[in-house]
Amino acid sequence: MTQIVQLLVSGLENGISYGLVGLALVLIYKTSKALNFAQGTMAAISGYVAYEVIVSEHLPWIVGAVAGTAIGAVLGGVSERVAIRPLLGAPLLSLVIATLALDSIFGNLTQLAWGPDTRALPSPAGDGDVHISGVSINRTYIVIALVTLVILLAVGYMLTHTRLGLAMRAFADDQFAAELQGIAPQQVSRMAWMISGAIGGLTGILFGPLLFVQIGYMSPIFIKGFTAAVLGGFVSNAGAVGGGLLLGVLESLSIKYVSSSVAPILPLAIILMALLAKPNGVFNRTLVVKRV
Amino acid sequence: MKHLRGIGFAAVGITLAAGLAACGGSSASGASASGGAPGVTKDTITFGMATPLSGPASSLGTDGQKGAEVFIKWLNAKGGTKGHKWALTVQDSHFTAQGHVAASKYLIQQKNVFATWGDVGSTALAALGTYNTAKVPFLFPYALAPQMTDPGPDVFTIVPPSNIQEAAFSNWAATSVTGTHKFGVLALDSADGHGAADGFKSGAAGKYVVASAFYPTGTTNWEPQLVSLRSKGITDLVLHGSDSWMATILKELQQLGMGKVHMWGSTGTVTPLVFKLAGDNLVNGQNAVSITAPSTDSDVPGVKEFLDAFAKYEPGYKPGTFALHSWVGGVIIEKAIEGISGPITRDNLIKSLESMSSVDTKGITAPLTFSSSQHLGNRSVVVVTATDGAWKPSTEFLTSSS
Repeated sequence: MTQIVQLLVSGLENGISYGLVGLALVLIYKTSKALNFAQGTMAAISGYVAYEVIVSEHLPWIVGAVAGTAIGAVLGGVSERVAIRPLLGAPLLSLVIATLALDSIFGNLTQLAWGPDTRALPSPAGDGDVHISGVSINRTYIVIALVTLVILLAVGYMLTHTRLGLAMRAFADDQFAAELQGIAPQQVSRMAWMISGAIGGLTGILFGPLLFVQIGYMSPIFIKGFTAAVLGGFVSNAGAVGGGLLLGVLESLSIKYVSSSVAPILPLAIILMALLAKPNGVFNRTLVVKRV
Repeated sequence: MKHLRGIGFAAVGITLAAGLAACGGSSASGASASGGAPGVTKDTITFGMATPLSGPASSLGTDGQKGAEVFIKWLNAKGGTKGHKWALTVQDSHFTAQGHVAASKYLIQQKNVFATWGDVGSTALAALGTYNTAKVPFLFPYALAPQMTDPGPDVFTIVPPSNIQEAAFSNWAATSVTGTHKFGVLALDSADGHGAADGFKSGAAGKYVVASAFYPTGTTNWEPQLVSLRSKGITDLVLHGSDSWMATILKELQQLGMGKVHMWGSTGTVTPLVFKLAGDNLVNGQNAVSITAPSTDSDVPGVKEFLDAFAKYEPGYKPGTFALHSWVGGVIIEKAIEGISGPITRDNLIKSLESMSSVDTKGITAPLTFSSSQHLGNRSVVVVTATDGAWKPSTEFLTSSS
């Protein structure tokens, strides 16, 4: 029993990272209808910045986290202005290619700036674990879980109780109608990308201690974050986080009870099955209205 | 207008044919300026290297590149070989099969290099055919796949495949452990990972193996595999992986209450980085297998010479395993070229390599022997132990009979 619980905990630990990335992807898709393939490299840059502040400059961890998150927001804003806004209204393929180009540019810039070496970023919770009835949980993952909950609540509050959030929801529902109501698409798009960039950046900083800050360290999480977003139908923030947790648990259980070879194909198989069974997302309650 | 269109098509066709002829050439079309072998002028021999310079494996490729560059500077300062200085041109393989093939073709067809040297990564396997077809010597790639035991007529290697390394490691492990031991194997789900697992099981300690677990590329959390192995009550963990993965796994072992499990790491873990990432406390006392002496062990004459060269030509850079591998590759190539009687050509280089026996690398590796039927010059490994924040050899070089 303890073993199964430990496997579930390990799966949830992984799943949280997928959910956070998925959440960032959903935010962008809802407003720009773009799939941000540069999310992983943007998150990694935030990790490097946090490393410089915390380790090289010996400043407190929170200062490094704020700096890295702010850089993530800036990267999001710059990306939106330079690559996405000019393509607003363009086919999805154009937007995908634009973000792929951004991914390549950011990846190469990272390497030019910091080189290929691996860096150890300290954890905000220190090293160590919490043990509950024979099950151990890494303290860093507990921090990540709490931060995820705060982000989810904050984003939810923003979307339902602020003018910006209302504008973003209106924009996601019907861009044309939103513009007619005086909602500026540029502002909505920019804010969505900045918030998404900040969330992605914070993810990169939180996972830096676990994955080590190195070239491409967030890339393996990106595809799984994409799966999480698919499970949320690319419209539900909580659905993306829930999808990430589900994926993490399925991965963990499949390694033990099926085969480790299943784990790499699991995200893609889930995407395919989800799109076939529930195209609007497994965790999305939006109804599809049939045209008569 | 039709005849003009026809002339146009003919012009395009001629241009394409000329282009294809230029691209498809091998050594025959790559004559050097002096009319000698490709890549050889009257005073310079040009080598190529296709290695990952970008992406997640860039630290390995960059380390290997620096090892070759420092060797060349060191050698050129001594006057080079047979009156020839060496030059190196490097291409990024992106650590993908397609990238490695493309980079290799570029080096062969566009740069007309004499030979390539020191490529990092089993993606080099994809380029074996390219080198054998073009008859360009492909020297000392760092690739662990089992196929490298018989790499081809123009390919030479000193890296025993993972199955051979782990078999030797297993034989030694069986003599060094006392009492009851249960070994678990944790390996990358790849050709060399499975080779490593099979190799260890084929050795004397194979009888102690109670479970194996594999992980795919891109794994960031090994807890599921470790929990699975923990259920078998393992006391020892044979790991096939990289230095940063070993660091993470050591921490996860602590977290899961498996801190007393003894680690037996593979070649890729024998770097200074694992101490930096995991901390000396977690790494000290663990064992690993290596094909060379540790890159930081200045008690070994060859490694001291290597470290002194780096201090002179790349001060501040801490060279690792791949730099040392490139360096010793350079040592072998230098001896091979010195052993050529006649002009420096690719065929003569290969003949010279094939005649080399018990090559002394000043302790960096075991003595190396090549022949016309055996282009894998090294079947020996050394077992190292993490001691006071550094890897130190615990054995002489051990030869596997696999």
